[in-house]
Amino acid sequence: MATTDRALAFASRWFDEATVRRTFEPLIADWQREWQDASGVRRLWVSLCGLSAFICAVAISSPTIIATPVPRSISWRVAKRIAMFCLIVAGTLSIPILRARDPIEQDAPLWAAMLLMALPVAFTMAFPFAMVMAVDAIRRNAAVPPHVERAAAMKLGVIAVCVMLTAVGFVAPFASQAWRTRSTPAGWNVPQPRLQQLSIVALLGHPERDAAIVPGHYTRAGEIRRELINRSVLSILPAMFVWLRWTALGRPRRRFWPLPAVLMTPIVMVVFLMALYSGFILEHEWALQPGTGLFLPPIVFSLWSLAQQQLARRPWRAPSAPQGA
Amino acid sequence: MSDLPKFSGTERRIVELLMAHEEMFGLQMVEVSGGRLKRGTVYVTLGRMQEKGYLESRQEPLPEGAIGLPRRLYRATGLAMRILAAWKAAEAHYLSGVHPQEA
Repeated sequence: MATTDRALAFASRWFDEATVRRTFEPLIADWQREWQDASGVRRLWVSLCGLSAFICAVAISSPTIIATPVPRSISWRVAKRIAMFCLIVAGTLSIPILRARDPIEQDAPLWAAMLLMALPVAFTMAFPFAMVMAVDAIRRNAAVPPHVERAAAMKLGVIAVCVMLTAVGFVAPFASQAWRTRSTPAGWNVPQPRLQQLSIVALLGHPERDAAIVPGHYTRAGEIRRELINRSVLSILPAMFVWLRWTALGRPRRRFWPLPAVLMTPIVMVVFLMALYSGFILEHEWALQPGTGLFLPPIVFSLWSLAQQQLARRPWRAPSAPQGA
Repeated sequence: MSDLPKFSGTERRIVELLMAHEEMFGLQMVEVSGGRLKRGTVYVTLGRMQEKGYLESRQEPLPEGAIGLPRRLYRATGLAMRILAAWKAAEAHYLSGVHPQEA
């Protein structure tokens, strides 16, 4: 029975040996026997009942995935890779920001403050793309059982989304507003925070959020919607990249596949920017609701990951030897 | 009091069933319970009860011509039976205290 075989394979990939033996094997064994004893249409009913019981058992047992201990060496390697990548990319991104304002170079404290406040913004831009290298640190480790690898990747995805949500939702807007306040010359009025400088909570509770949105026109309510969608998309990006790289590494190895993380990361960055730009164009061309175009990058990466997942399932056949060889 | 082993309603129902039927499969318990045990949760509970030492299990030898995984038969341990007896006694005592006129 293909469904039960797949279910058992799924459970073995995600759960430890004891949970599989105690929970999933008895469930699947009873399911198989019930299916064998049934006939005709009843088999379909048995399949549906078995599948729903299996999904339910997976959902109830899923906290054990988060509780699966990940070897310290892997956690350390993941953290090191993310830190190194973010430092390099955020540092590089900060250079033009800092060089763009020549006058402040005369004012050392202001320059230091700007560097401090530019870094969170640069970090939010770099962090999601660090996931590609981070997944390599988890998956390219032969000594770790598959369920531990998956638990590590899942934890990485959850933690990364939380970090990103905090960064784009609170830290980056706060840093941006702090910079605007700090750089206002003495005697001038401190600028009021724009939507980009408001936290997610402030945006959600914005009094103008409930006003009517006119597709194709940028009303205040539409701008708030766009800003909220933008931050939501940025928050889920790390999890999408974890999935993307995970499925890439799941495919059978060939000469040029999977691409090394150093190569795949810039490709992912380019695809992201292209999808973002295309979404923006489509939104304008088709007069869609504000922010709708921002959904294009997650759609593109989901399709990419799904395609890789499908390819990973197909057995790879080596080219056959020529006749008579 | 903190040393008293935890015993949920589902666990109690399972032990009661196993005391009445000696050995059962997971799916059999669901059918016999008349909807009180759910198929999606019973195996997780059975697994946890085994971990706690309330149940022991063995694999059923595969019948002739059967394919797939061998099914697992469960049996309540002495520990589970003692805990059930203790809970029943505690329950009777509690109820007699709460409703003295009914006792």
